[in-house]
Amino acid sequence: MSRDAAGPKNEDEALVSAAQAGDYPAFEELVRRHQKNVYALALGMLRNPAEAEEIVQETFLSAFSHLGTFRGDARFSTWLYRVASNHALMRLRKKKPEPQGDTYDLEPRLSTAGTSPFDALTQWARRPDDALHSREVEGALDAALDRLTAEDRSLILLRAFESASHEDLAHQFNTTVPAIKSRLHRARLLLRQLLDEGLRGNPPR
Amino acid sequence: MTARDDDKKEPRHVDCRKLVGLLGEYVDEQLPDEVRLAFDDHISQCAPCVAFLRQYRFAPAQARATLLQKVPADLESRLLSFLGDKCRDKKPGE
Ligand SMILES: [Zn+2]
Repeated sequence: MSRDAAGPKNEDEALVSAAQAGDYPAFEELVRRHQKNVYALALGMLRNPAEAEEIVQETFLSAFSHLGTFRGDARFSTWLYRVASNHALMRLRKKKPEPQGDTYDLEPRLSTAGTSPFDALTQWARRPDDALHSREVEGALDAALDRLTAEDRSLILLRAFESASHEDLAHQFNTTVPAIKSRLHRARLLLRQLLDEGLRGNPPR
Repeated sequence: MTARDDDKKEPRHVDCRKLVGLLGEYVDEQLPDEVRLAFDDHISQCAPCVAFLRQYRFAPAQARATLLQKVPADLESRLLSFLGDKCRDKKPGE
């Protein structure tokens, strides 16, 4: 909790206190600081730019209306992403339900005969800094995200954006911590595999 | 490392398949020390597992980075204008 007491969390806290006291520019500064992450999270979950922008609007409106209930026992960003993901999850649940569970088969790749399950494993993650700017990686990643279920995407992204705790995720997804750990792990394996296949130029099955 | 006394498999012999099953807890830093040591021990001698671990870690980080690149440049101004209309003259709610 005190690891980064002098860092952004502290600055957020000062801005939140000011905003709670009616300092609107302080609220605007919080918006400026967090809008990109909220948008990117929503875009990842919903895969639709217009809806992602609506989620950002709803999130900050809701944050403004409930600012008084924020007590500072969590990071402001954690609180904000929880608001955002709740809005995004509500929207996802209103949509046509997806087929339950992924039917995508991980096992064949993992049970390849031989001493290693990773025969011919490519090295695309060797230099992540280079890869960040690669259009190829971007395309493969978009395709991979599109193939995951909304729930798998959400789990991965909530963890990647704000290190949401397993307890938080279990609460949001209405399940147990062990179940969340297992689903998150499976989702990450699937994302890795889809990305791997995309980058090798294998057509997705 | 006293797990030899256990009747289960000796943890030093984490094989590649078993290691894949532990990756989630490894990257989330939730493995018990002894299992983590066995994991590290295996990783230090197995290049394919190192590559797999890197990809497993890299994919979500890459997802985040790629999504952040898609934020529209004018989102901030649109958003501030939208929120200003609705909130500027109000007190934040309780
Ligand atoms: Zn190995």
